[in-house]
Order: sequence, then structure tokens, then C-alpha cells
Amino acid sequence: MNSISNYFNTSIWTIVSFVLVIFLILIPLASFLSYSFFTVDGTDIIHEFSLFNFKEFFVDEIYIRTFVRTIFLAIIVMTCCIILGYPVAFFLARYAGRYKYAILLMLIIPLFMSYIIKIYMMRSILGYSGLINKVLAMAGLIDKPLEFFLWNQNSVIITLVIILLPLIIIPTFTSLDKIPQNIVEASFDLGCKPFQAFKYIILPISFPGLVVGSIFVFILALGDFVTPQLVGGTSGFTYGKIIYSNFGMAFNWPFGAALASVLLFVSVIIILLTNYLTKRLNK
Amino acid sequence: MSEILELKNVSKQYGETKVLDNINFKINNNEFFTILGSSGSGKSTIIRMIGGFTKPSAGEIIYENNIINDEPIFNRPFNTVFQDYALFPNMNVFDNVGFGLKIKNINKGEIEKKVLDVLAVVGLENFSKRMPQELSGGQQQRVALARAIICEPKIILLDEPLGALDAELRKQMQLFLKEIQKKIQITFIFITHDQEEAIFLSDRIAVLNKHKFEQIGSPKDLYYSPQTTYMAKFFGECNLINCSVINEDSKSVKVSSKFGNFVIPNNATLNRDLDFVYGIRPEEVKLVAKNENSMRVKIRDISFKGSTSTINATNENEDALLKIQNISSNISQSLSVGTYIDVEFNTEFGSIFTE
Repeated sequence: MNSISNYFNTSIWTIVSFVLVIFLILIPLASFLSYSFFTVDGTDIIHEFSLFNFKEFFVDEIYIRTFVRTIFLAIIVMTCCIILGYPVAFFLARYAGRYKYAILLMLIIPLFMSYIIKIYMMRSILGYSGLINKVLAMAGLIDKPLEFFLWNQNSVIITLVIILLPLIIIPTFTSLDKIPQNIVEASFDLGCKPFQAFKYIILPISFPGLVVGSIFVFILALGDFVTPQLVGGTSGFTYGKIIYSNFGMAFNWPFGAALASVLLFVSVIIILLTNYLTKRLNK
Repeated sequence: MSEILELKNVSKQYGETKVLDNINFKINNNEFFTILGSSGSGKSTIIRMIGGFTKPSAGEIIYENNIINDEPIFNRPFNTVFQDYALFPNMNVFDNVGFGLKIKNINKGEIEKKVLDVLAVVGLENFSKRMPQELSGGQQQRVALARAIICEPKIILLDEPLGALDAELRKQMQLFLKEIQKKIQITFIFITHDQEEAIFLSDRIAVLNKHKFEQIGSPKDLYYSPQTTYMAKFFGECNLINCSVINEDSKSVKVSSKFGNFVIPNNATLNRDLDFVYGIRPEEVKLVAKNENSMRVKIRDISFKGSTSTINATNENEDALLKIQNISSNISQSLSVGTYIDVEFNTEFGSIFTE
């Protein structure tokens, strides 16, 4: 009797969660993606099946070029985040002692701030009359403001890295923090020098957390269009920006949807591939 | 027997808190040495200092005539079996056990052979591909032991390894540990808070109380010749009686106590004052017919334990208690509470404590 009622309860929740996912995520997404098979005539959407948009994507090389460039951008941002984020998470989890949650909270607080505000904040730091240039000028190191930091690819990378960094630190920290001290001690006990303990024990155990964080950063950097627009100047022409302008200025929803489908498809492939590789590595 | 490890005047304190105070002991090769103490007595700290996980605040740890206080963990020829096993969650049983050899750059073929050998010793040959999370507590325990044994350390440190197991499994693992220690001939330093376990397993036991060793010796030594009143009460029960010497000659000493006067053998080698505490175990108190050496006590209660009974008796003034054990129930049946009995001590099994 008990097991039957349990079964009943479990199946109700399973159905509820499926219904929620289907109605709130899958159906809207499918209806949106179905637009990619339509075309436009002037401002009217023609509801007939066509692969025109996808053909367009592959024929006009600007799209693929921008797409590849954006992927590279996302990879650079992700790599920077890993290089900067892992040591921070490592320090927090292993050496920050009782301050670790306070420091972690400080890293989380920016996540509650508006994304736009953070970008403007970065502009005020990187800009011609921004904090960096002012400090350098006051120190007498430069005569005229450096252009290195604003309206180019560098500024896009710097801004994205700073905004997305907490997303890699938090899951990495979580996976590092739950490694019991005695497991590390056991590795020393069995003859590991500190670097070996890191290589064989700490890194493999924290790797899944790092992967989750990296995927977050990669996907968000890949689809972002506000940052490039606000700090990237002419080089802010990323794939996300193209999608955005097809929905906005160009009013070509079907083509925008087709570009978005390609992005979604590639993102899913990357997630699945990473997942597969992580599992193989852990075997 | 040759000596392998010595702790000399070792103390440890964290800030103001003293954890260990002037610890001294020597361990012989191939010995099963147990450190017995309640939780918080500092017993884990001793093993952590030997293993190299923490440094003594004062004193020396000497391994084969070398002071190893500053030797890093990975250089010490000891391996530890941790309380909660500390198996590597990212490796299967095979890799866990082979890890110590892999770090020493031993070739794969040899590692494989040794791992399979050691897994056979601990009875886990068929589990080499399992992950630690898929094993029961007892099995994880065996993996942890195998992981230590395979490195052929000079000493294996076991930090309450059976603490997390249920009673049944604990018994099995005790037997297993004892057998394996005989088989592989490695010195074991074992930590526990369980007296029975310590007595069953150990060649020698060191009893830790209030940051110091009370006594070190074989289980029998500790039981039959306790050196302090704490030790007398630690294993089993003991009546502790305040005595004063009335007179003595070369053979015997006559003493007075709240229960009356009695005579004990005079052991000249024993250092004692005129006032001392006499310890006598409840089973060494016997009922006798009244004579010049017997003492008269009043029965307070009788508890029936089957074939034998235990009697709690008091003196005339009812301000001292004497426990008497192993009284045949046939006899105790005829006794009743409130009546008087005459008792004598088996004085050859008594102990004298100068406090």
C-alpha cells in the first residue's frame, strides 16, 4: 500500500515536471525555431516551409566568418576565466579558512547587479578618460590615453571575463571545497609531493565543477550581444549582434531564428561533447 | 626484539590548549601497539605526529635512531589507514590500491601483479573495478588497509579504523586485522577508544588519560598490575580502600581501614607511605568464616547474575562501599540484605597506590 502511494506521488511529480518543461520551454522554443523555416516578403512573414534562411547562412560568408570569430572570442574568454578563476577558487577553498564564505559572497554579489550597469562600469574603467588611463596619466607613464582598452576586441574580452568570472569560480569552488582534507593527506601519506597531490587528486576531483563553469562562460560569451555593442566599437560585430539586429532593425524574424538555431545546435553539440569527454577522462 | 620508533618527551599544544603533555614510549618491530583513550584525549594527535601531518610542539620523534620531526609526510616509511578511510573518490579500487606504487614510478606490470596479490590478501579480488562509493563500510576499510600494505611500510598507523562499523562487522574486522598483522609482519600502531578491542588485538597498550600516558604494558600487565588508581578502575572494577599502616615486619604489614584491619604481604621493593590506597578487585574478595584477619561488612544489595552474584556491602558506619563479585549464587541465596558477612582479601592480587 505504502509503496503504491509512493509510486503515485512520485509519478505525479514526474508528470508535473515534464508538463512544465514541455509547456514552458520546449513548445515556445519549437515554435520559435519553426520560424527559421519561413521567409519574409517585405515585412510580412510567409508561413511556408523553406530552407532559404539556412542556404543564406552558408552562402554569404560573412555569417560563417562572424560565427567562427565569435566562437574564438568565447574560447578566449573561457580560457581567461579558467586561468584566472581556478586559482581563485583553489585559494578560497583551501586557504581562505573562515573568511572563505565572506569572500565567496563578495564574488556572488555582482551577479545580482544589472548586467548593463556592470558593462557601463567597465566602460568607465577602461575608457579614454577611464580609471586606468587616468591613473597611468597621473603617474606620468603615458602622454595620451591608451586606445588599447576601448572600442576593440580586447575590451570585449576584458569585460566579458570580468562579468563571467564568478560563474566559473562558484562551481569550481564548490567541487574543491567538498574534497575532504584527509583525502589530500592520504595522497601525501602514499608518497605524493604537493604537485602530484594536485595532479592526481585535487584536479581530477574538481574537474567536473570546472567543466560546468567553463560551459556556462562559453555559452554566455557566445550568445552575448550587449557587451560587444557597448564596449566593442566596430569590432563588436559578433554573431549575437547579427541575430539581435535581424529581430530588431532588419525585422527578419525567420532569418534571425535560423541564425539562432545554428547557435543553439552548436551549443548543444559542444555541451554533449564536453560531457562525453569528461566521462571518458574520469574512467 | 628491536626497537623501531620512539617518542621522547613529546608535547603538543594548539595555542594555549595542551593536547599532549610529555609523551614517552618506544615501539618494537612487528608489534601491535595500541593507544587507548577516550575521545578528545589526544590519541589521534599522536598518530598524526608520527605520520607527519602535524609537528610536535616539543620533543623528538625518533625512527631507527634518526630524529624525523621535520621529515615531510611523503618521505616517511609509514602509511596511514584513516578513520573514514579517505579513499580517492575519482579512482576505482584497483587504482586506489595501486596509487602508492604509481607515485613511486613502479612499472605497470608489477603494479598490476602486486595489487592483485594484496587484493587477494584482503579478500577483494573481485572488486577491483568497483568505485569506492559502491562498497560497504567493511569493504572500504579493507581497501584502505590494502592501499597501506602494498607500499610495504615499516609501520602502519591505524586511526580508529573500526569506529564507523557496526558491532558484528567490527568483530570480524578485529579478527581480520589481527590475522593480517601476523601474516605480513609489519608494526601496527592502532588507535581506539574501545577497551575490549584493545585487549583483543594488542601486544601492548598505552592508556592515555588527560593528555598523558597512565601506563604502558601488555593487556595482562594493565589488568593485574595497575600502577595508578585510574588504571585500577579502567579495566574492570576495583575497590579502592584508604589504609594506614599499624605495624609491619619484613614479611607482612598490618593496616587499618574503614572495613577493619587486615594484613598484606610486605613488598620491600614497593615505594609506599604510611597512608596509601589499597586496590582489590571485586572478584578477589572472598566470603569466609569469622577469624582474626577477616572483616565484618553489612550487605546493602545483592544482584543475581546467573550462576554467580554480586554483593555491594558497606562498613558499620555505612560510609564506605565494598563490591564483591563471583559469589556463587548458591551461597548468595542464603544471604539477605542488611545482614552481616565476614570477608577476606586475596592479598596476593591487591595493588598499592601512593597518591
